[in-house]
Amino acid sequence: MTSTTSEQELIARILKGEQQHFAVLVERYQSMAFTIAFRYTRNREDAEELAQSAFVKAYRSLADYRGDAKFSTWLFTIVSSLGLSFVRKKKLDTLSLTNEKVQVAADGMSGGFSANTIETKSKVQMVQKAIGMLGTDDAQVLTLFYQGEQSLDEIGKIMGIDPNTVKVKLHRARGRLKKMMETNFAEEISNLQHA
Amino acid sequence: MPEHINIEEQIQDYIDGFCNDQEAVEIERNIAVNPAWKATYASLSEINRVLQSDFEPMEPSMRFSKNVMDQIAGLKIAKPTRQYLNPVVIWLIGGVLVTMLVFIIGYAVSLADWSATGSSTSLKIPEVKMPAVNWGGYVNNNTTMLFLLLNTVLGFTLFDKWLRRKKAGV
Repeated sequence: MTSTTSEQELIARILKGEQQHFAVLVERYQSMAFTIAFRYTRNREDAEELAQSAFVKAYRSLADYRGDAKFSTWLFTIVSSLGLSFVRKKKLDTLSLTNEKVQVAADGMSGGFSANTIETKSKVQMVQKAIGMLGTDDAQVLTLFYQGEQSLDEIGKIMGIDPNTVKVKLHRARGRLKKMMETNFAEEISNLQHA
Repeated sequence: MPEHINIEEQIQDYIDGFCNDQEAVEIERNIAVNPAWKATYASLSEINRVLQSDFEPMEPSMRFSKNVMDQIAGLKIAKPTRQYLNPVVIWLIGGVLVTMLVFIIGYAVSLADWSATGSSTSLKIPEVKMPAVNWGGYVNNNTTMLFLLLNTVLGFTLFDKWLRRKKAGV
């Protein structure tokens, strides 16, 4: 039985009133939903609240899920939509590579360390931090492509843009990430290579 | 577009598996023989490797799943949106609009002066005279009372419907 089939079966059971099965979907997608939410909120508390709201909304609207797209795509669309509303409400600045605020944001995300003295304990943390320093769209497209296992078409649906635009954004995001890592984490990369 | 950007895009498509077999063979050949292509490939495949192996989703708090389940505990799944939309009503509205459009176009065409040519100055816009209706004649005590009565009945009907729904807990 494929995971998609079992997912459809799960959804059918939830729709019949077996609410407890929704926990399986929550467990399965909570990390990705939280990560996507974090791309918009840039702090854990708001991201958690936003991701929870997305799951609640998904549950309430489950009867509207037609099954012609992956459940994850549908769910991530809800998370993105709530994320955009959050950004509009909070009027957060969209960070860009050239923006001076990047340095400040890096300080904030590393829990008070300056960007130059971040003690990166692993490559995973370093990559996570570097992605966190990218603009929302760049971080989002990388997250959905590499972690969310979404195709260009699916990312297009989630972000409300054309798949070709997704491809261009993905290409640019990777370039910016590389530059970001070389600029801000050169020492850490060197240490990891020598370790 | 500068050549190096074009090379980057082609190699990135190759890494992502977005190119066809023929393009893949061509790109592989270029990477093998051209130092610029080789260097670009090495650089792009490194960032790709980092993103595939060292990029993991963030984890929410341990209580996340329980919090969601607690929040939905008292909730019911909403009816699908398509159930709110009665297809008969949509077809009816569409039918009325199409009929009106056909009538207006038909009426306009019937009034057109087909003897006029494009170059002549005799092109006339057809005059439409609306029938004179004495609206004042329809407004009197009886019609006003009837209007109020209908509204009162309609109000009571809707109020009754609302109470029934409230009682049923919908």
